[in-house]
Amino acid sequence: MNFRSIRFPCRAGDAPTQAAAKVAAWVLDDDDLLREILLRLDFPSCLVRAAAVSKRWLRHASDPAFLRRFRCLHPPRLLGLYVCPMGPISSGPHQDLFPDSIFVPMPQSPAESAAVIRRGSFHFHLEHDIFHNSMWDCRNGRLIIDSYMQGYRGNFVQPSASCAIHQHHHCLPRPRDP
Amino acid sequence: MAAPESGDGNNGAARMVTLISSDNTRFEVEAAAASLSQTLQLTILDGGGGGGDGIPLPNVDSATLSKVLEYCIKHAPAAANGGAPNATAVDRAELERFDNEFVNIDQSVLYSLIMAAHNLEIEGLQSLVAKKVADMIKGKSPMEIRRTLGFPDPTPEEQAEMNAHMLEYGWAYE
Repeated sequence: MNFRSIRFPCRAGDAPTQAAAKVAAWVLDDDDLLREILLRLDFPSCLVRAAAVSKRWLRHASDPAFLRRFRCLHPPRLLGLYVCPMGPISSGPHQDLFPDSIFVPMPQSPAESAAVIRRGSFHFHLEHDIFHNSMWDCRNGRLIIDSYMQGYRGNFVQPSASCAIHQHHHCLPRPRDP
Repeated sequence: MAAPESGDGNNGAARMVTLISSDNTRFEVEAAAASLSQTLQLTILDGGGGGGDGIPLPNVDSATLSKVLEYCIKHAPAAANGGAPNATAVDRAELERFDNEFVNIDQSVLYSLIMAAHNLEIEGLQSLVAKKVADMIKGKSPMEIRRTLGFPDPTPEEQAEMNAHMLEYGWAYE
């Protein structure tokens, strides 16, 4: 597979001279300075790409203490919101069914966020026995979803956690009644 | 060296200190400006750098030191005011304009500057240059970052790791 380097061709001015490359290597060999530079990448997607530069960069970019600082400096951005209809559909073939929550991306997102929105999967596949998905909450980039399912002993609600960006989906145990 | 317009709040006569670069060039600068460096601040508070003595800086050459001091002199008045309280929007905009132009320099100077800022513990300058370097690699693929920074071409193993990373984190590569 070709690495995707064609999309952002290096500008001529970007190529460092041999002397500059030598000083760059000297600077970037310093762990403190490398972290200070990585810390100032504005978007998580920039950090993820930088993490692939080398194993050493990956180690710094994925260090929990570093990530805490990164999140402090660049608080998570809202990619969009879910509009949850309040009542069942009143007519037509899907009458009495609740429509699914609809994802609405934030208008005027910065280019880096817009790219993530394009790539993410914010509309969840309905299993044949799920007849309605309702968004409960959003924490740490994961959605808590209530899926209303049809079971042989009647309808029940299956909570699950989903990550729209990584497209992971996990069923959660049902919380006990208080 | 030009004196800062204002901001030395303690007394009228600004105290001067002498800094000596690795290539033995002497720079006379206001103590308030040099004190932006946490490292120098301690020496200056102890009374060092005055008179004929001078503070030797064996890790910083004269070209880099003059650039560092240009930053310190510009930022000293704001730092003396504790950063924000008395600063007007115009002052802040002026500093921002200065900062933007200040880092618009050759890459090798940029790296020497960040190293000096790190050694001298000048937080604002280190942060400013780190931001500039980060801006240079923002929006680029790992391969382009390596080229921008003049890294050698990746080995086949490194290339394979990069490709695997791209597959796993496809959302960051849109």
